[in-house]
Amino acid sequence: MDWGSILGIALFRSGLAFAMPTALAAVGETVGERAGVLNLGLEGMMLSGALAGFLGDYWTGSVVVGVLAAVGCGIALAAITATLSVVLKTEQVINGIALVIFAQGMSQFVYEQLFGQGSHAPVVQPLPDIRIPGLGSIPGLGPILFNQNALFYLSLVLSLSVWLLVYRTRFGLTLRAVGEAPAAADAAGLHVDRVRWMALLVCGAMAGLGGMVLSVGDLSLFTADVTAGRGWVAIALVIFGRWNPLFVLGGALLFGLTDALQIQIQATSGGINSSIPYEAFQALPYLLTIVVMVIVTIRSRRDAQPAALGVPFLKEVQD
Amino acid sequence: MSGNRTWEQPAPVVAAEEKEPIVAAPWLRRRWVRAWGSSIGATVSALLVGGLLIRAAGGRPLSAYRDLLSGAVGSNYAIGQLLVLAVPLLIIGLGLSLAFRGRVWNIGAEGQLYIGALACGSLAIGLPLHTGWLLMGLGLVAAIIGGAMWGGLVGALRAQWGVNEIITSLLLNYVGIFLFDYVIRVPLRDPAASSLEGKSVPGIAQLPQLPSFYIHVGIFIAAALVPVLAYVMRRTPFGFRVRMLGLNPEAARTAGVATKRLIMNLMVISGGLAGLAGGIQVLGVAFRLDPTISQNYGYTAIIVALLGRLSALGTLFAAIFIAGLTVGGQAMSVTDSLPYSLVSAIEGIFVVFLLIANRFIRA
Amino acid sequence: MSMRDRNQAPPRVTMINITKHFGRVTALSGVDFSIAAGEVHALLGENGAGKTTLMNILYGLVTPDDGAILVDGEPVHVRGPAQAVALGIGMVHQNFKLVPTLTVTENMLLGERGVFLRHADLEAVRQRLQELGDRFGLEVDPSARVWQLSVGEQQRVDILRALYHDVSVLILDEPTANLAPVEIEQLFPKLQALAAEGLSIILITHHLGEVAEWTDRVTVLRRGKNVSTLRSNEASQEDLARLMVGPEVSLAWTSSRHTVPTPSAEVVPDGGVLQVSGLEARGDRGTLVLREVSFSVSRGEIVAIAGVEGNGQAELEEVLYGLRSPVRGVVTLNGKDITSAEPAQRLQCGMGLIPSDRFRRGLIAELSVSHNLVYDRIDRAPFGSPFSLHSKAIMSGADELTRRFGIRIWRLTQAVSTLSGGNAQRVVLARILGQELCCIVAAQPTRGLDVGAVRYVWDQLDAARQRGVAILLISTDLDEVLELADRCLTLYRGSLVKSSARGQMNREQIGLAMGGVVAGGLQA
Repeated sequence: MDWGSILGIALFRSGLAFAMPTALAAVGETVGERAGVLNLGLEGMMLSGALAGFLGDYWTGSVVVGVLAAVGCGIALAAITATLSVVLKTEQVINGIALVIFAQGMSQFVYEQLFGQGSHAPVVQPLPDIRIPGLGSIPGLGPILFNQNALFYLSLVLSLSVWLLVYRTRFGLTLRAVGEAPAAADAAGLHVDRVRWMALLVCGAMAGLGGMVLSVGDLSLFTADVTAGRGWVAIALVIFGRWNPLFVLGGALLFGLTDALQIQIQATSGGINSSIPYEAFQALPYLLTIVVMVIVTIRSRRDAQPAALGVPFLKEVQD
Repeated sequence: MSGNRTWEQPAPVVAAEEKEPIVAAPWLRRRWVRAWGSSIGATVSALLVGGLLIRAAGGRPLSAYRDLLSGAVGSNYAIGQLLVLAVPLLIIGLGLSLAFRGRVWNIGAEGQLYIGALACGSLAIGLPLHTGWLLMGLGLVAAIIGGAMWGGLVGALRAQWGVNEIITSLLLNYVGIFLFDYVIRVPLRDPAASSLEGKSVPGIAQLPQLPSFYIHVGIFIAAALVPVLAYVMRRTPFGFRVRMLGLNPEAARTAGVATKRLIMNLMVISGGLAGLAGGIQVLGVAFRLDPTISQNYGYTAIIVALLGRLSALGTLFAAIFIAGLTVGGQAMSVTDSLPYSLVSAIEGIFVVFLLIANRFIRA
Repeated sequence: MSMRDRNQAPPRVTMINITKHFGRVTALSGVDFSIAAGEVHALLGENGAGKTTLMNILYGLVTPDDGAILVDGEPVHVRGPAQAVALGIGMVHQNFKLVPTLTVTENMLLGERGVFLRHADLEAVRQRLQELGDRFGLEVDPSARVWQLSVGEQQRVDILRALYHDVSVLILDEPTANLAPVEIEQLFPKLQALAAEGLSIILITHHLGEVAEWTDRVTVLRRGKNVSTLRSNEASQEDLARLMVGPEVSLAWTSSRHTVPTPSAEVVPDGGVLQVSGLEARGDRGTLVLREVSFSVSRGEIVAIAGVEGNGQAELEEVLYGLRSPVRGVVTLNGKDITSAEPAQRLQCGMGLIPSDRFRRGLIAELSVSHNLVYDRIDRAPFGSPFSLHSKAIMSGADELTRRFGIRIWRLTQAVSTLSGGNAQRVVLARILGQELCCIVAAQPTRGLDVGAVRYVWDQLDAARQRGVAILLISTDLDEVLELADRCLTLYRGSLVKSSARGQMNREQIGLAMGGVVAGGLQA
């Protein structure tokens, strides 16, 4: 295999572009988990957002409408999850899985209702690349980071803002307090459940947007399985990034590069004649995610994980 | 999940009552009444919302549901299809019910099914034996072992290092399916088939059918597992320990429960059962290594287990119900020209209602 | 703060006719309470008397069913902690309400308005903390993360947080529960200094000694009612004790009335049933919390490990029962090395644990009483075989244990979550003491229990001792240690710093050792 031709600018470009959906979802999930809520419905929120964003763009030709639709859809699903996990305080693990099943069923239904099961799938106009003057001319980094489409820039900016949100705002402080010691936050006058609600809505919004970046920004189409497990990978990335949005973003970019790498290798080395079966490359990102998650968990998960993660907050009755 | 911080007091629990609290109506006190009641309530609500979806899809709810019903149980053939579909759902569902009781979230049943199918099919095709039942038996055993190992991998990671089993089992689904795809594409490919299919299983290894009922004997295996699992869950120390693990793993460990081993066992058992389902699909339904031996059964079984309230008997009814919904839905989609994904949508709504109803089971 | 001044000033806070029910339980019934500026007022009562509930109402964490609250003469409705603080009321809880992973400065900012966390904001907080620290002698490092601080320092942070918000009333809930005697000595003068500046201080406590020495007035609550409010110097300890527990129970708090447990005739100084040597272990933060711990417990002997919470007791309990692996050291039971054995094996060898955290480790709240009584031996006769459970035997066995240990229930099948603390502890005791064990580790067995329940536990442990069980008692309650122990070892910062036998146990000396002061100078 000619590594030289594989590890080119194109690889990094597409790698980062494909990483953005997962990055958004993962960073959004970080916000939720920092507040102590486990949202396993990420895959479903991404999928629904992918559909909603696609439909929005398809019908109106406007990406902005698509973005609003995707975000709105993500928020709606997050509201359902919040009702179950934060208000009714049922088992968060089950709530998430149920939401994925629900979202998968509904989005497939809606899509098939609108477009049938025919072979010609509707597409949207691919987004044009926008080259940032000045920065775009930096050799190497320029074409990779500063010559992408609008959704890419939006994703990058949002992901970085989450880091700001968590560490440099009062809300972020509240978030961390609620996820680490809800009893203390409660005694300080914070509304634990309300904060968790908001954190989930942020998570849903970002996941929905992430889905749209995938369907509209990267692929320009929608299929029932367009997310292909990215939502689950995003959850693993939160653990990998030790609940720090910056590291989570980094992990997502790494995953995206691996993804792009395996596609490139398949393309250049010729699938059928290659000695390594292409399924191995398809499985590679997933295996890698597992391996990385295992390593990180073994070494230091306990310290970084928000102490109240997954545990509903119940006010204590003192004697 | 929390560390041992010295300033934390034990969580105070509600102070004792002097007299027994009076519940609204005495019969509501029985937990199983609430459990079944809420399941039925959720079912009815979901069907109502489903009716709305049917409307939206341009159909008529009543006639659609009628077609669904007749499509599910209207003929011997239909009932046969229903039962054949219920088999994998039931077998996997039983395993998941057991695992979920211990709060071991095995989401990897789909992958375990495929690996089990792979093991079974490879053995049945490759082993030069000529005794039918022996080949069959060994094949199913291989299926169980295959699924058990795939699940055991997840269990080992969780038991030893506390690695989140939801993610690992789920990601391994993809890996397992890719592995299956590779095997049927290269080593065990059927050269004669026009589309991508694996080799077919020798006739003697195929599960005997009951032609007048359109079912295979795998149904008896599934049925036999119900009382076994029921007994294990409710009347054995093992089942009790699983319950302890699910409710309070720390107290369980202090009480002498070998929690690590138990977690491992739960993944192995549920994985093995999922593998068995895969083997039965290969030997009894597809008769070859076919990528379509499973239509997301591993995921649907999760719904089955939840609907069945994690009990053996409940899982039985739930499996039959979901299978009926699916088979009937297929028929309905043909006769009423409604998209088949409607059924998936209804199932999804169903699960959400179920969770809300769940809330009312707690005292 | 002279008597004259206090008589003229109107009460800073007045609570009138406060009533609160939790379901069918009446926590408070028609309670009146008031405190003036510059006064130190003790709120005395047993566990469950309602002291914390009353203060939680004042702090806005709980809403009263009836009654009124006046602050500086004005009626108010305290709807939450934020409003309480705005009214000038601050509370320091028993389990500090601090976020461990945040810094001291960040903890101060919790709940404040604003959007961004600027460097200037943090600087302002740090300045203020410095001022307050200097003024009241409450020094603390503003940039330290709370989990890095000692228990005493954390309490200081909690107090500072109240002061930071300019409170005029400070409520302290059992402030000395987690402090070493040395730290207690340091705390009270600081509180008096605060009172001298005009702060009203309400001290929730059940320690009679503290009342007499450091407070101006005391209100005694019993079973949700205010039985008396007196000036501290007008009440003797006996009077207060009687008010606390009620005249119908003829109980004295001093050990002279309680029958001294007769030392078992069989204290055989052999190698010991339980032997621990050279034990070293790390805590959750990775630091060494047990150093070179060695001791042994013989048949029919109660050995107590005394010490203030946070000096390694929790980790010792875990290591002894296989819930935490030691770095070094050996634990043997009847000669058999069980250092790395799982709890299951320890139980099989005849070792039982009464855990300090009863609802976390000792009971499964959702299961029935009957199941909780037998769940550690359901695969053995008579309750079951390896392949089946014998429900009839379980029920009859549970029934017998319930009777024997006086567990108050209305049905064997009721969930343990419906039991009170004392009752639930009886279930734990019944399960452990109802078996034939050779060794029992009892960690904080009477924590959070009322007097009757405490007596009961002591009786049971003593009875077990007389039967020949080797008992290791880990307790932060000095009374308990003095009552029960044949030998007492004091744990301080992970090392055993003092050892005394029954005849020589001196309350003061042990108290000092708990705070690190041993004859011959400070240790470690």
